[in-house]
Amino acid sequence: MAHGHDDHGHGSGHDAGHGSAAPGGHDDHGHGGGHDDHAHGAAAAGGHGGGHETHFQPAGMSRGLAVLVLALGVAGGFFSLGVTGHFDFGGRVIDLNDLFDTPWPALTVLCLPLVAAFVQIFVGRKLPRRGDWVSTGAVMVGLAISLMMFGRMIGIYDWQFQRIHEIEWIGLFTRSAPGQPDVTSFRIPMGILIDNITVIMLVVVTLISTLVHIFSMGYMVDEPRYSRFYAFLSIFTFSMLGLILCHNVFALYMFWELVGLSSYLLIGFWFEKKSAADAQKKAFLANRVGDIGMFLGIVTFFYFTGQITYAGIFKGVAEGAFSNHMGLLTIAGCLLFCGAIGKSAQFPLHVWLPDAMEGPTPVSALIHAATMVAAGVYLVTRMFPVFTPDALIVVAWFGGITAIFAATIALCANDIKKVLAYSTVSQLGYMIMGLGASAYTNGFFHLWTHAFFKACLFLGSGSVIHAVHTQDMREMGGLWKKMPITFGAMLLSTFAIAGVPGTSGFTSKDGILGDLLFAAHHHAALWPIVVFAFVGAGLTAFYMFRLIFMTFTGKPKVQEKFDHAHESPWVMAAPLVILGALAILSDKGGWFQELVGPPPSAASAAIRMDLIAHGQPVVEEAKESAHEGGEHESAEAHPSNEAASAETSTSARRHPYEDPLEHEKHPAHTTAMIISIFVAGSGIFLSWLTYQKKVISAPKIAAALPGVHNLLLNKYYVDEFITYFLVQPFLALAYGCARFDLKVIDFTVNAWGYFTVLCSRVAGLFDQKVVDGTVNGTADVVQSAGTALSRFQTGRIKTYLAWSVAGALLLVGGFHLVTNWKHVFVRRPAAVVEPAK
Amino acid sequence: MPLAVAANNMPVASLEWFLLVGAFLFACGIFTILTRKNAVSVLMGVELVLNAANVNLVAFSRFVKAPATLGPAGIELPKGVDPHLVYGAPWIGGNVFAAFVIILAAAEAAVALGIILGIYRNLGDVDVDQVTGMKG
Repeated sequence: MAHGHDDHGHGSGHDAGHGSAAPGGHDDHGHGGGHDDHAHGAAAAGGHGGGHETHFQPAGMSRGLAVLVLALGVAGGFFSLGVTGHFDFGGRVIDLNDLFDTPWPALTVLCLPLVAAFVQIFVGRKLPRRGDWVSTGAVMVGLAISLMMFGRMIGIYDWQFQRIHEIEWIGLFTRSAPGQPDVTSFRIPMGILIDNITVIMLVVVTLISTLVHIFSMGYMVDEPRYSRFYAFLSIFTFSMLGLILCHNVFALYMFWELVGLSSYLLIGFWFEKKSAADAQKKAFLANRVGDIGMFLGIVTFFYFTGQITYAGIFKGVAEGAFSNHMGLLTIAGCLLFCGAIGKSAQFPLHVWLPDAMEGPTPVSALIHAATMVAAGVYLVTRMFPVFTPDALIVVAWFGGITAIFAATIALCANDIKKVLAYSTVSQLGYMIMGLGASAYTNGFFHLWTHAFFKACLFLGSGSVIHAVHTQDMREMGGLWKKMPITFGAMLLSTFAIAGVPGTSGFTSKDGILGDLLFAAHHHAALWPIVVFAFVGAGLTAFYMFRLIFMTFTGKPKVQEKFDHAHESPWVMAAPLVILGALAILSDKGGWFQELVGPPPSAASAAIRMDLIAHGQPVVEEAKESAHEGGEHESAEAHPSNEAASAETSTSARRHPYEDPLEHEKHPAHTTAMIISIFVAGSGIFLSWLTYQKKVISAPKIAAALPGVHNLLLNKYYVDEFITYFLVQPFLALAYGCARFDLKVIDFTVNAWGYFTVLCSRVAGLFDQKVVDGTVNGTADVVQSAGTALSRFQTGRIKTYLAWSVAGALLLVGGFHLVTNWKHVFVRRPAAVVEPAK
Repeated sequence: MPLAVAANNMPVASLEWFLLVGAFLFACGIFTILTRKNAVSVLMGVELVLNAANVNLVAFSRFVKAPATLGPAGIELPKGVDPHLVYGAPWIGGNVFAAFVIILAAAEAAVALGIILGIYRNLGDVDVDQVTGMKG
């Protein structure tokens, strides 16, 4: 930590724990101790009683609070174990560097949910509590391991940290000369890549998944297909973890499709509703559009570099695999980005995400807010080095348009989940925009912080829906008295998403805005994006506080629903509390920026050069060392392993990333911070005036601008546009094809059928007339011959004898003729006898 | 056809004369069989045919000598093996077949007469032209 953190621009107002080692910031909620698993198990067991509580009960709540503190202690225990790096287990010292130096911990995290999914599918219903503890336990073990990994990552504190464990998955051999070993000419490896990004994503996924599993115990308890729900959740968790852990694009694509599948299954979980069934199909098809582009991108990279691993592709690109086709590299990057457009719901394909809110709310929180939709951002983050400057501008524009576009729609939405859905689309737009503007670290940082506060908001909305049984905010109001915990957690998260200083959302969004401003100074094409971003930030603050005001404050609009409202059972409240806390805390410590440096391989050096007039060679060196480091350690992991375990104090070998451009970025960040605080503040203020004080009348504004209001109410008619310009032509095409099928293809098939029948008739005739005629004719000939010959059989012995004699004579005479025909027919000249001399 | 002349200048009948006699007898027999209606006459014709064969057998036995050194089926005997010891008495030749034929003819005549009696009993006649039970 050579440089001061106050210079960062972000996080200057809340640098608790910055001065000391970064782990310190995280120990705050982790020093409860309780390292043993039994406490954890007891926590889970204790939770079972509370699942069916329907009213807010102080006693139940205090027990829940105790369990919550215990769980936090256990989690903190795992985390601090990881930071320490080793622990004494009955005299046996266990080295936690093995978390990274062997693939098994990561594979355990990956595979346990899969096992749980199978258990749930086959025997889930017969298990006690319909088996929810199987899935929850599996993901909890994953969370424990992930937290240890996270702690170990903080302990190692090396931004270039990377481990690859791979096996040869497919190897094709070329046979060489006899006696020589065969040459592997083509190989596809399969393996896992563990670096800081992976570990961070592991924590996001397992943590939110665990909390959602726990939340669902309360939210889904009346569901007849309860165990199936948990099975689907487990499948999703497995797929998402695989997507994070894999080290090549083929596996990425496979898991990408698997998360698409689990999303499909979970959106349509209540498939009896037609809207849910339609939504699941829509989501799947919209994703398919993006995935085709992504697949083409993957194939392009494979074609040009011959590699499927991230490292291999980066190396190939850096070594100039595309040097003669730079335009193609841009196109390939854009194609790859198509996958992110689909999965992360960017502008043209965002339509599926609001509809996906038909799924159960915990699913919306897990999949359609925090993790799966972030997969697109993760993809761009992972593949960042291959994006050319032009491709990044495209990415930035898509993100920017999405951010402002979705934010404006959210202004007019009245369904609480729809507001959050459009807010998710908008925030994903911010991440994508940040990545496109080379705010690599901050774009990914926003993923991290957004995951927590958005999951909190969604689970909070689930809690509200659970309480009032409606999703329409116009029927809510004044709920804060009835649901203080939900209100508190959601308020914290709303502060975070609105960008109130001191929250995690402020730090990450401000990081993006600052980097954006900085990049726009060097790239004029980004200026409109900057405007979008700041306006979008204001709108975000406005509509999120609109949600809070309409839902929790003011007077209840429907008294009956208000009277029945109640605080959710603590299995639902506890995840809210944890996520609400993380909405504030998840950015603290400054470790993120120091551990997620620039892309590990810097083929993107060119991009930075392009954006930054005076590019520096730092990145180039970083690439070299990062790459070699990764290779070296994956090949023989032990030297560094021993080195790490030998040092109990990890601070000696910390390698935080230091941004060489920090001083240049500083003014931009300061400006961005000032503007964003102003914008967010005015957004909140206007929202307060409009929905709390009612000084400004929203209906009057709507009446004054009917066109705009209608446009927003109808979501810019994107769905209609897609319906009329894509779906209808497509349907017309399909009908045309059907008609072609009916008229032409069926006609051909039928004609062929008639022709076949005709041929059969001819063949039948031939069979009957010719073949049968031959057979019958033979029989007739035989019969008539027999009839003719039977005339010789007179029965008179004398006739027989006469024939016999005649035959014998004929034979003798004939034989004589045949053997002696010369004597009979040829007259020989008489021999001339020479007279003797 | 010249008669053969023996060593003592006595004329001796040659094989052809015997065959001519046999052929004549055979022709007479066949003629009898084909022309007579009476089954007994037919039987007598059969006897003529049989005896024509006997004449031939005896004549061939008298005039045709097998080479002494050849065994049955023309296989040459090893040297020093007496063919008499192999074939038995040299005077027993094809003529023995004639004796067999005579015996068979007697038996056949008995059987044939029995058949004729049977025919007579069934048809009330011995006209062989009436017997057409094997007509196809």
